[in-house]
Amino acid sequence: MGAPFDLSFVFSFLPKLLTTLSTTLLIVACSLLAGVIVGFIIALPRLYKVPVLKTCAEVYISFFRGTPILIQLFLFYYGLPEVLKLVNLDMTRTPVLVFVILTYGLHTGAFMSEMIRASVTAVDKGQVEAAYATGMTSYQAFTRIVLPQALGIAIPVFSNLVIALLKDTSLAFTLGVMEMTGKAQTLGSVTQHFIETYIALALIYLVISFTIEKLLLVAERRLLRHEDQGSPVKRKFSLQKKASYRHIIADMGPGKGGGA
Amino acid sequence: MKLDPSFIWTAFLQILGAIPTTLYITVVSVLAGFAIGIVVALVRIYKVPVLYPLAVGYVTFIRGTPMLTHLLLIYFGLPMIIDGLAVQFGWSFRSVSIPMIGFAYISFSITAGAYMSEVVRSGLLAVDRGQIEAAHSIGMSTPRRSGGSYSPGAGGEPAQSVEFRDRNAARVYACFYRIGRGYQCPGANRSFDKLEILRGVSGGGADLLGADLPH
Repeated sequence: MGAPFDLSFVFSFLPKLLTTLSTTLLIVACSLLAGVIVGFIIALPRLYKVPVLKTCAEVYISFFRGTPILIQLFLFYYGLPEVLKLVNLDMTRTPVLVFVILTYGLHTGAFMSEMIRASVTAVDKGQVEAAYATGMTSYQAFTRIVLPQALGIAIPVFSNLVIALLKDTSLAFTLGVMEMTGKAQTLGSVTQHFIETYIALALIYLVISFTIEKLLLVAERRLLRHEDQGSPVKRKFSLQKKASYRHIIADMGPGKGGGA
Repeated sequence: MKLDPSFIWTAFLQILGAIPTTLYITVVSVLAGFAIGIVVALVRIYKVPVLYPLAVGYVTFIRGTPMLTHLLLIYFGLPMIIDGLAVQFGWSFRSVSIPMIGFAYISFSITAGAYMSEVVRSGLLAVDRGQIEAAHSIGMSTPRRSGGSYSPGAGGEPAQSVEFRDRNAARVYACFYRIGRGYQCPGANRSFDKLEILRGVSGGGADLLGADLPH
């Protein structure tokens, strides 16, 4: 199967794959933007428990979370033009990238809405009440009290979502979009050096996800800088094999387990 | 192409036949992944000298690259390694005799293992330190602690994550059809020109999209 392994191909494939990096990042950026907007729209009826819209949002979320992204891509790409044909809208000239971004945007939107809902509800209710008690309007209470805290809570989930989205874009080539995986497929087919292409591909994805993770970790630290960094929950966990009694005492923190 | 609602039912019945395959892959990779995950998580928690950086590298690599690349790397890389070793040591075993589904089992287990190790690790870390200290103080040994007081406590925490992982896994498995079943999509001729080009370029049986693969 294919030509014998040759490590030099990995390095020669790297720049070739990097030429399509912009397409991958374009898909990620646009769908992320769409996802945040959709996520907010979907999360609001669930947060405020609007009767009918709440059910619609739940159906939307369960559809996008419960079906594979690959199937969603196919459904939108082949199904949407058919549906829009009924209302006399011609989509045959629309570029594939639009369908891809639309699908990834709606898909991410479902997860975003869960993230938004979870992080807003995670902010202590008493704080909102306190904000009201000091005479803030509900808008002020949201922007000054809830939002800054919710952002900090949401960042780890957001980081996961972005990385998942980045990795999911590798499926966009099934619709013929020439992003990194698509390029890798053609490179592999032309040169018959499949493993080398996929190793190069994996390296690029790894570097990007790693960068995103580190960047968002910095953002998280910054947003949570007011939190007590020495809280027992965050303390490094270790198991000592020879834990003497003195050691245990020394290790005991003010947490609910040790000192209480 | 016209939308034909009656065909949805026809397709539905046809697809139902493939459910066992999907479930087999899910069950096998969740079980194998759980085993890998426990080992990797323990290596990471106890910081086992040589294995620790390996475990960290493994989890980082798997979590940082798309599932599709694991599948493709295993599918193309494993036969090469096996055949190379077979020639070296004169084994009669050749990679051709590995069934298609074997590659799926292996690559999904490896992927699931990395994610599962994070599930197991976070489950174990979530157990309050005080409980371990309490176990120490009544004189339990480390395994007793892990088995007796740790696991029941840790069990509930991973359960939710595993469920989440499961749903994710089932979704990811949809990727797999690409290798095994070639490229079939009813009435899908819109983007086929591009895919056909890909197929034409490959010229041989090794192309994924044309999938003419050994079983």
